[in-house]
Amino acid sequence: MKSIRFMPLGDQAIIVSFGNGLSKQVNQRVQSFRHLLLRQKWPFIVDVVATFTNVTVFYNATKQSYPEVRNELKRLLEVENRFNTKKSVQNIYLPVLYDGMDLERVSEKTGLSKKEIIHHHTNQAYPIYMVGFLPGFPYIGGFTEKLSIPRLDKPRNQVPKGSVGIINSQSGIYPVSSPGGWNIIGTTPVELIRLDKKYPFYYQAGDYITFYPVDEDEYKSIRQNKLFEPKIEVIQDGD
Amino acid sequence: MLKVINPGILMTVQDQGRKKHRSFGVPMSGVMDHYAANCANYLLGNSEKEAVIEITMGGVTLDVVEDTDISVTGGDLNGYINEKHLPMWKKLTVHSGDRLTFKGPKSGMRTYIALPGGIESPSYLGSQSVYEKAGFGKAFQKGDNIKGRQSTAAHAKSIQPMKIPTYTKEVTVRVVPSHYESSFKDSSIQYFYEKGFTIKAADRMGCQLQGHRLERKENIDILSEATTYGTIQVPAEGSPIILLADAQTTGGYPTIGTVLTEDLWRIAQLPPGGKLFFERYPLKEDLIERSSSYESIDS
Repeated sequence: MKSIRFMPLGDQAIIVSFGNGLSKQVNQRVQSFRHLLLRQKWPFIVDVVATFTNVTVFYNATKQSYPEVRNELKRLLEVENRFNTKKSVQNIYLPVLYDGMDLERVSEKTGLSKKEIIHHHTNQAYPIYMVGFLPGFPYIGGFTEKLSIPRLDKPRNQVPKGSVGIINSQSGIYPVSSPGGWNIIGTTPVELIRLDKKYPFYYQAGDYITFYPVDEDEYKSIRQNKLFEPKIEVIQDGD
Repeated sequence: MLKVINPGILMTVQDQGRKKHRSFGVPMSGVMDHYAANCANYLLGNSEKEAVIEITMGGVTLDVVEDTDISVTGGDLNGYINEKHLPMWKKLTVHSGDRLTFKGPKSGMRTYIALPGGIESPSYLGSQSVYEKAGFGKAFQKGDNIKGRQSTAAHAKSIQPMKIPTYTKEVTVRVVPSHYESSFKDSSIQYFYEKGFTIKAADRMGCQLQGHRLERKENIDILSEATTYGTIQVPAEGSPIILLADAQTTGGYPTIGTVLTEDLWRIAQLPPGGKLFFERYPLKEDLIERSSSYESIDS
């Protein structure tokens, strides 16, 4: 409780900060608190955004003032450990064709072979620390330090939709084409924003992604299959 | 019903935006100038939740293909009905065969058109606001039809002249300081609140400012955090950027503060070259001033 800070983001949002450095533990606290908060169904809460170390609560300032919201949040944090922090989250299996335009360079810089890069990127559930930058862009963490590589010095003007990139020991996916500076190692054929669905996104912060490699034929067949649904399993997460 | 003859620089459908999907990285979007848009809806007796048309800068020609009530508010983009000046901030009835043109900004940057019952257009994640990057609708193109849900206003209302804003080329907005304020040099913070900035460029995503470069005490790495409409980011080279309605939901640049919601419309209507001044506006003190009952819980 001592290390938790409250800070305003303008006049309609409050940031609850659980620490300054990125770690799986700090982000776990962030995700647990976001889940707990959403379960309260407080009418003055408009939206709750989890980032690496913070939970940002957007509130209706005509219903509740900044100090009132802050005190409600403080009270909830004080009793947080009385709640069962176990929560159901999803593990989404995403196919990737590892043919990225930066794969060669990542291999040179990290000293890993392409096969090793694929090995370190796949077949394990990695946590989504946050979603941001673009609609549905996940910041996935927990990869080996061996995959650590800095952001591109100069961002590309256009990174194609579906591109899977890495920076440091994190991975991200571009659900739409956009300028960007991630090192692209592959492409997923899965359409990550489904406009025809009520819930167009497969995942949110706190969920997990498991990448698995596919070859060009599998990539094409998934791409052409409008009915393709990635495998999703529900797992229990928490302390 | 209206037909688009020329969509100008940017003409889109916007409503109150997507406020509940920021955790999926979906920008808020929505009208840039909430006050003007709300007035446009109010004049026709619409709910303020209804979508309106947002015109940026002008260059727009619309033909009326079916008689309809209409209201036009916001910045004065030099609008005409046929050969006559288009009256703003009141309910009008336009007739089939009329031509509406918006030639370009006289004051302000953005004009709003409301139609009775709201605009018919597809809704994505509970909002009709166009955000093309994610495929949420499209900006108007030549030949598109713009349909209102009705053709006559439910209740025609009027707005008192004193409630109509004046759009100037120099505005002051209040800023709630960010927790990164102390990472900037004192001299830079002082400059930020004492001297003005010039608008270099602006779109629906952000507004680039030109002026004194803000310097930081030391370079610290910042992990991405949530941002909102009005957050002022300061990239390494020191020129502030104000994030606007279509901005990304998170950012990794240090911020100096966030513009007060009530003042955002002033920025939305400020043209390139316009002057912007900031007033420091810490939130806590204000709330104590407004209501002494907050003192006890604000220790």
